[in-house]
Amino acid sequence: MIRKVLDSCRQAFVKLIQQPRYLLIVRLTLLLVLLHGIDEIQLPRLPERILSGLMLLFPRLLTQKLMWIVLCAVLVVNNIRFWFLYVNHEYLITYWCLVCLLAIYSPQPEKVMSWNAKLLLSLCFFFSTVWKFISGEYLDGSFLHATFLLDNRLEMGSFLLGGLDLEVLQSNREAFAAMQANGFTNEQVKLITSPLMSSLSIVFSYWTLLIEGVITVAFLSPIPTWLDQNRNWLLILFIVTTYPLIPVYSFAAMLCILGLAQCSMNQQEQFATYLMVCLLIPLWMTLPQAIFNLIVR
Amino acid sequence: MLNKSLTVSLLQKWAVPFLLIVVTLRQMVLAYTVGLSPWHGGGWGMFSSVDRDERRLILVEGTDTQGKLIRINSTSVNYLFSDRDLILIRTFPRKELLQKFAQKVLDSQSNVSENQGLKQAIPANLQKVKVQVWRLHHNRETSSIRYEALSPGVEATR
Repeated sequence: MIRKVLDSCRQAFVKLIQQPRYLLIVRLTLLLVLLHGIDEIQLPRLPERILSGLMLLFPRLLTQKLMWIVLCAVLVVNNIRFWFLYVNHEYLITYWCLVCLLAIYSPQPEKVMSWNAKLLLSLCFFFSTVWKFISGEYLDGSFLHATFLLDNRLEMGSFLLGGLDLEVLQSNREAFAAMQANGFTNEQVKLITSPLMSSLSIVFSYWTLLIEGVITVAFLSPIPTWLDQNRNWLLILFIVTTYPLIPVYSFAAMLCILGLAQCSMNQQEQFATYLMVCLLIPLWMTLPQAIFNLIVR
Repeated sequence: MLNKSLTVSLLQKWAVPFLLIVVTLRQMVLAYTVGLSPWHGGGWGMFSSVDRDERRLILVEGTDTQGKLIRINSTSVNYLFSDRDLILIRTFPRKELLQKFAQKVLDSQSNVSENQGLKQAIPANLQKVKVQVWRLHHNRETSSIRYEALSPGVEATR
C-alpha cells in the first residue's frame, strides 16, 4: 500500500518535471497568487484569485496574453493602492508576474524567466543585506534579540536554543502589550532573557548576514566560480533553515519559484530539489512547530 | 533611434529589475526622511528592524481652555478613522496626514450628537490637539524596550 502511494507520488513528480519548464513555473506562480494570504478575507484580492484560479483550471488560458495583462494590471493596481500595507514578498509576487507576462510575449520564455529570476533574487538579497547594515539595530543583535523575546512565531527557537521558558516569553509579550496599551512613552521596560539567548542573537544575526551576503554575490557575479556553481544549494540551505523558524509560506514559495526559473538545463538535481522543497512547504515548514506544540505545550 | 528588437530585449531584461530598484530606493529614502516603517513599502527592510508599524504608537495630546495638557488615549479616537487610515498614519507619518488627524480629533468635539458614548473619551473644550508617532527601540545589552518620538509633533488649533 505504502509502496503504491510512493510510486504514484514519484510518477506524478516525474510528470511535473517533464512538462515544459516555463509552463511548470507559470502554474506554480498562479498557484501562489491564488493561495497566498488566503487565511485572511481580502475583497480587493478577489479578482486576482479568480483570474489565477481560472487560468489553472483551463490549461488553454495558462499562456493567454490577455489573461496575463489583466492579472498583472490587477496586481499592480492593488500594489499601488496598498503600497504601505504590502510586505516584501507581495511586491516580489507582482514583479514576478510582470516577468511572466514579458516571458509569454517572448519566443524564448525560459530565457526571459531565467535572466530575471537571477537578477530579482540577487537584488532582493542585496537590498535586505544593505538594510541590515543601515538599520542601526541589527548588527548589535538587538533586532533578533527583541524578535526572539516578543514574536511568538520564534517561540520554538527561544525555547529550544535560548533556554527560555514559555511562561517567561508570555510575560515578555504581556509586558510589551501593556506598554503599548497604556502608551508609556517615557518608560523603559525590561524583558526577561538569558545570557545564552543574548549571545545567540548575535550569532544568528551574523549567520543571516553572512548567508544573505554570500547569496547576493553568488547570484550576482559569475566569480568566484565555486560560489556561482553552488548558488542553488546556498539558496536551498537558506530556505530550509530560515522558514521553519520564521514561517512565511509565500516568501519561501516565491524564492523556490525564482530558484526553479533560473536553473540551467544541466542543473536537473537542483531543479528537482527546488521543486520538492516548494511542493513540500506545507510539510517541512509546519512540522517542526507542530511537533514542538505537541510535545512542549 | 533604438530599433524594435533592441527595445524589446531591453524591456525583457531590465524593466522589472529596474522597477524593483526604483521602488526600493524610494522606500529607503522615505524611511530615512519621513519615517516610513522599514517593514513596508517594498524596500527589503523586513527582519532588520524592530520598528514594525503595528508596534508604533500614535500619541494624542490636547490643551484645554486653561492651557492644561491632557493626554488622550489614542484608542478612544480610533472610531474617527478607518483601520486603513490608522495603519497609513502609523506606517508613513507624513506631516500632512498627522495634521489631518489632529484636525479631525479637534473637529470631532463639535459633532457631539453622533457616537455620544465614544466621544466621552475625548475631553471637552480642547483648544489644541497635538499628534505624534512614536517607535519602539530595543537594547540587547540591557534587554530593555522603550519608545522614542519618530515624527515631529503636529498641532491643530481651534
